[in-house]
Amino acid sequence: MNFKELLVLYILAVALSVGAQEKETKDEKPAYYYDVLGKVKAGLVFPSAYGDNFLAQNYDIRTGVHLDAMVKIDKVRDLGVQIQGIQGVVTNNDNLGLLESSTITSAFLVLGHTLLGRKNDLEFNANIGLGYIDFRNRVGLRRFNDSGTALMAGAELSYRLSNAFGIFIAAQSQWGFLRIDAAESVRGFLRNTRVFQPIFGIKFYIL
Amino acid sequence: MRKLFIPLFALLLFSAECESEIEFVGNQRLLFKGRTIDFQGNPLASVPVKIYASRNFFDSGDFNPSSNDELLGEADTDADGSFSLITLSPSNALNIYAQINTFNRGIQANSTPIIVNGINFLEKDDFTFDLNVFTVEALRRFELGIERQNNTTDTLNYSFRYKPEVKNIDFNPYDGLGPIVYSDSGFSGVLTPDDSQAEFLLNVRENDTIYMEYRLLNSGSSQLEALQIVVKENENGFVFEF
Repeated sequence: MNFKELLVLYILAVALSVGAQEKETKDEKPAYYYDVLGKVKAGLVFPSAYGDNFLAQNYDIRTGVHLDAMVKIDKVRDLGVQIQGIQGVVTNNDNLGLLESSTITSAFLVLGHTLLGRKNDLEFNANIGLGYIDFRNRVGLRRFNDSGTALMAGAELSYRLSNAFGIFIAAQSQWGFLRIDAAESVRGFLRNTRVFQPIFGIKFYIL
Repeated sequence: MRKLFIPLFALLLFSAECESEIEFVGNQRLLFKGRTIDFQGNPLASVPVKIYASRNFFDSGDFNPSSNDELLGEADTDADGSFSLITLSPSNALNIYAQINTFNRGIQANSTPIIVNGINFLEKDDFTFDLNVFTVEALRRFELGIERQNNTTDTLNYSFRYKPEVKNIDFNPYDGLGPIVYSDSGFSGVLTPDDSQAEFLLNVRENDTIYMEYRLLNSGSSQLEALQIVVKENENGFVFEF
């Protein structure tokens, strides 16, 4: 078991114990979904790239971090922002040049919809997002950026351990559309990225 | 004052080093493509091709890469002899050059390495530099000999010129030499009356001509003579007798 897996287990254990403690001590009426103002989530991302593109063919992408903050806009929908940071190491330089690694940052404006669990501790949400993706590329000590737009769609299952605290697991797909100028024959390979990523983490409810 | 001077000096050194490094343009990639054939026009597969970017410009025939030159990418030619390389796009390169059939990893030790200089002066179409077709010519081991036969008194001053092992192709329009340049290699020497012979081993191209100039010196009298030696098929050498 490596450090990242231990970290995930630790976060889950802490979340469960905090939730259990709060549940034991609280005697107030539970605040259901429509009683909260919003949600803040923090988690770990386990991305894997797929498809015929440089990210899938030439990179080893590592565990990253996920943050999002959502504000409720009506009984079932919320709006917010999501930010993710992932580190990618180049494992194959064919058709890529001399890149060594990239820090991949994405930021999305997210619209969420609660499908189930509006009156339960268990909650199921679907999210879509439109945003920005940035590759901060490294060659030795030198840096340069590739950037573009991105789309995101995902589903999330969360369990509310107390009024203010819960845990979540999510699956998300991201489509990146980089604005890289290149010969027509290689544009598709260099411009499009496809990433599927499970996300685990903790969730705070803003009451 | 000294405390201030040392970091400032280090900063100056660092910035000077950075200036000599190749930087890259974001959101842009380049494609280099071309083809290699042999002397008979047959495609040459597995020929290594390397593309470099440099902050220095070197003249044709004076191939002198800097340690700061950046290897943009490398590939081998396919069965059709074609190569295609996607690279980062340098922003401050003065010279982009290619090594084809590179010295340290040539497909055949008996073939010419080719230096393609000044690729950045070619017209770029759709972020592509089309380097066209290169002929990787065969090299021959050729033995040159000088033997003293009847003349036992004269000193022989000699010089040889021939096309070098490395074929230089230059697209830099500012060197005034035209788009393609083959520079000569050569050497010269002296055979005194005490010496009876001299031998040299050269790598030259098939059917090339070696130019020899010589002068026999005897008591101050001299006359410059010239000779052309053709590297013919099935001939491994030539001996100049005097």
